[in-house]
Amino acid sequence: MQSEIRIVMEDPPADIAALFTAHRLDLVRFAFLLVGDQETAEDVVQDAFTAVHRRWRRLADHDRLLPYLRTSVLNGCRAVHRRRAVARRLRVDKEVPFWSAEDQVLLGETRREVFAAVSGLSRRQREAVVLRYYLHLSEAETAAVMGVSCGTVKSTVSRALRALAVKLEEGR
Amino acid sequence: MINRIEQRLQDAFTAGAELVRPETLRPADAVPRPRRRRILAPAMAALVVVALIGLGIEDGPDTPPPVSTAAGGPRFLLTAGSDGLAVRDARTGKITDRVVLPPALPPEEIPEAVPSGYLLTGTGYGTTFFVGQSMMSRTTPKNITWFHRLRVDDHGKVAELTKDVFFAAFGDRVTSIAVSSDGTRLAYSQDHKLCGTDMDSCPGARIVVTELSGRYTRTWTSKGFGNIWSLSWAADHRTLAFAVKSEIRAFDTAAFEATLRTSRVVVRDVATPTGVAISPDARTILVGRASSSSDRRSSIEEHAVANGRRIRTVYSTNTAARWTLVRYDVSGRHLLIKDTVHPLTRLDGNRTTTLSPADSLLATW
Repeated sequence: MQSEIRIVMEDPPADIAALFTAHRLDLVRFAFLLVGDQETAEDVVQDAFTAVHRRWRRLADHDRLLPYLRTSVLNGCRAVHRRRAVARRLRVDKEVPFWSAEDQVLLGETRREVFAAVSGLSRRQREAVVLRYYLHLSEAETAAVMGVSCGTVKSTVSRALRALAVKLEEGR
Repeated sequence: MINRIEQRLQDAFTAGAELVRPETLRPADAVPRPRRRRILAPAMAALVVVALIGLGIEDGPDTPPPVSTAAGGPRFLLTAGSDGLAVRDARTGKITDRVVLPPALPPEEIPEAVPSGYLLTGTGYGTTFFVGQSMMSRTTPKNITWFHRLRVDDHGKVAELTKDVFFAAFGDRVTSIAVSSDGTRLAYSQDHKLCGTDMDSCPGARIVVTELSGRYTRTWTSKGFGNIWSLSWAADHRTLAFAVKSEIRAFDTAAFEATLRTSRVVVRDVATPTGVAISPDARTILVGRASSSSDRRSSIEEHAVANGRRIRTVYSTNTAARWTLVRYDVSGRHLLIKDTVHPLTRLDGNRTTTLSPADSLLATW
């Protein structure tokens, strides 16, 4: 009986390890697009996996871990932006550059224009377009990750696309 | 129009996300605790520093090892040898791709130019490398060195070769190059035996730091300083280490009144040229040492930058050889080393891996 209990207790780390191996890179890239630097993105994703590990026994549906992780990463990115905003107000931290100079060269002018336009969107609009056009989530999946309704996602994305169209077409 | 915007978004997000490359992620078995940067953090850090200074602790009671046995590190490296430039697997040394540089077209100021070799440097990630391609005149002591950037894909194949990413170095021979870990800042050294509009002979040495943007170039020249070797950057992108005459020096390139002559001497009585590498945290320097030919030993010693104190021997051989290469990866936990006798070797803690035959003269990751 004791050994059975131990095995049950050991199951979550094994599952999380597989999840970590399979999805860590994608989640870091997702966070990177929202926070702009890799080190912070890795921290956010590590936090998300730690949260899953800690709450493993309280998680009702272990088949829906990936959406849970995405939400956790999204919340982590929001927390990063909040901390940066406070630090900027108190002038104890400098703005994190979204791309290094080398990255800028690699991305090219056209893509940099897109990122500059995206950075001008509201926080919710940025999140919505990254979820829709990087992770290719449906409106329903995007809504679940963001914790809003499908209608909100639809209108948010629509407004974001209109704003981007204006900015990017102006630049031509 | 919306469809076009959607396509541009997808394209930009895909390209942006791919800037995070799998090999640049922290090793999964060594992920540190997340940094909780609170507002009070700077004050707490200052208190800790004050406390440590008060206790007289400089390097800590047990300086962490510069290299680790943990798996990971750069996946690829670039080598130059008698068979040309090659990208190799950084764990096995197996060639994954050959590199063919575009033909160089020397300017008229370099009459009867002939190729005079390569210099290699990399960001330490094992994916982005820089090649200094030099040509020299057969009739005048004039040289030119172009700097090209090379990126490899996940399979070690050349994915991008960009010519002239930094301004070419003209005049005297370039003796050493080093690029910062973000690939934006290149430092190179020149013997500086040529000067003036007529390129007359002048004794001295020169270090040039130039940025990828082309907007920033700074030059330090010192007469009678001796040839400079083995440039390496710390992760702060401002501290350079190098060997000159019999000294290993650390140089703050961002300091307002910095000069080569006033740069900090970290280690003395070193036979140069030799391999030198400053750690990413700029706390320690690895120095290749060759003992006298009678006891036939050579070693790589670790010294504290703050006071030059020798910390330990990182690696040693029973051969009286000269170290030609000592190079950290971006994490500072893996080393690439080579001497004049042994083949290129990778050092992960106590584990050594021979990576290529001895005819690979230069290497970087």
